[in-house]
Amino acid sequence: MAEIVTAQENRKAVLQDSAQEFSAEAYDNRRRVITMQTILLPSIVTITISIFLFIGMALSTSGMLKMTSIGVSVIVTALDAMFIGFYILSRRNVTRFIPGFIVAAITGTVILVEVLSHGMNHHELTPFSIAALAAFNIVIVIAGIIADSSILIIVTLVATTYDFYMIFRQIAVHSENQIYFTAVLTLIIIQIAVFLMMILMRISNRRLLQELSSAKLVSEQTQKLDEMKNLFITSINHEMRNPIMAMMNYIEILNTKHNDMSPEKRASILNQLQSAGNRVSRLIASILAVRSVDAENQDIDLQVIPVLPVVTNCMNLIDPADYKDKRREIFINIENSTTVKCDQVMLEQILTNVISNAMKYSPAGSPLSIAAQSLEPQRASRTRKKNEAILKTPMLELTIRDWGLGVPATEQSLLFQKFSRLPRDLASTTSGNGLGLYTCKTLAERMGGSIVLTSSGIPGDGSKVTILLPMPE
Amino acid sequence: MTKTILLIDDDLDLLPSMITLLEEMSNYKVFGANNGAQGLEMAVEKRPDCIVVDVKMPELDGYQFVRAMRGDNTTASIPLVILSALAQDKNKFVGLLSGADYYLIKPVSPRDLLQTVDSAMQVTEDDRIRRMREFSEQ
Repeated sequence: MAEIVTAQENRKAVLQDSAQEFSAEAYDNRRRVITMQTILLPSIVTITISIFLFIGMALSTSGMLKMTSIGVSVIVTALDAMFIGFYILSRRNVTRFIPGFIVAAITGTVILVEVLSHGMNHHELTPFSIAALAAFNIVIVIAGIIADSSILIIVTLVATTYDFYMIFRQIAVHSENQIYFTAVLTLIIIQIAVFLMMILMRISNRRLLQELSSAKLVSEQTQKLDEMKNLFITSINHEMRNPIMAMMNYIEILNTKHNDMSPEKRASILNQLQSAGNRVSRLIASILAVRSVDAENQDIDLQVIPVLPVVTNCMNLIDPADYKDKRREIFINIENSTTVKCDQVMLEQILTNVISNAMKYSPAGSPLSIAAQSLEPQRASRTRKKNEAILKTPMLELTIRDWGLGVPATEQSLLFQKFSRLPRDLASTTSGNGLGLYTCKTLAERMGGSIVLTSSGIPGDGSKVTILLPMPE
Repeated sequence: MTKTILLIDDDLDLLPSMITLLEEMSNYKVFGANNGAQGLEMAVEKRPDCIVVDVKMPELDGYQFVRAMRGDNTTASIPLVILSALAQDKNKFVGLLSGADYYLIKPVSPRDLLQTVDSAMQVTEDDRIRRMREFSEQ
């Protein structure tokens, strides 16, 4: 049981590491900053304007106008305080509605002030001009509720222009009317402020939208990784149970029968116990290997080494359980003199993975070929179709070719991802943890090489894994 | 007369261990099969007194195997134990509904395995009918 627990702890650590970069917390923080900009900033601007209105109107002479403006600015300020309070308390995303409320509150004030001040100074005002001013502001209210639109900005501009026209006309006729002058000037200032706020909101809303779309992408990636993790857990779970139960069985037999057992029988049981133990240990090691690959703290020891002995050595390292049939023909086409510049342990890890995959996913008795060929810088671009860049240095091309199931084109990109296993393998009993090729890719890239898989996807046609590694110059 | 047990599992570590366990720790005669199809052939041929079968196997899975056994009059009364790594309630439900007498989740202690095999062989046809009735009531 202890082994399972340790393995689970290790796996959890691996998973936590990979989930870190998609932290939801970072996204929440960013969203909070944006909400601050869209809600708090306009609210503070509005409060400032309201106070200005309050002072301006309080200083005017008309008792009626004074009372109204005081009342209205108190309401606006209270509303804004409420919005800010609501935001701080709920921390919810209310951006969509609050700008509309703020604009509505400001414009409501404007309409009241305008109508009242016009109503008190009949001189040059017609019912039409009052209605027109009110209508403009109502449009702003409606647009404000919808929020975040270019129409809102245009309408505010037009309303401000119209107010300028009104004030100059009034000044021309009744330049002595101080109250009216103050009221309309305040109105203009408010509308300019609203106009600026609209632009601000638009900018921050656009940023918010961008943030949201990138956050959506992150969450999709997280979800995908999550699914892969779940599949990984399921497969590891299944993989662990069998060897552990086998070990329990052998231990029980040894425990109760060790006295009346022939030495040969005991040796055979111990042998099988060891094999099951090795299997569990390999499973744990494969999880830990990914962890160390991810940690990137493994020292790379690049040396010039002959390729052939490494390949032969790897053939011996491969788990005999993966040989479905020992009669398989294996063609190795590598010259004795071929050398490569790499870390021997890493190359062994890559080759063991790729060769055992080739054996695992091809039928018993089907051949396997391993070849090495040097690619000169000028030749490389001609020989390789999907070559990302023209090779600048000589590379060694190691190809491992099998005649097995192959990999459908749509699933080829999945292969080198962490925890990924093809749907058909998950449905089958072929064991695996979805980490092998991910490890290979990471190791190859760290040695300055690459690894790609090409396959027609037709079963029986198999697939070809090409490993490129730098050659000694 | 020595009772015979058939073990069906595709795992190359687990199957030999269970065979050795039953051979050493019980008086049963034990056969093993690597997949469902081979298991079905052996079940018909050997008529074992009890069968322990895995679920996830190539060729024929454990549920299909159990249904095939229960569907055939000559094998319908053989006690069946499912031994699987699938640990969810729904897996257990499907297994028992298919007609298995017991559903064990790997890893099972050797003693529990032996005990369950013994108990499975005590299950009578009446027990099965009663169990199926309980299932249909649920």
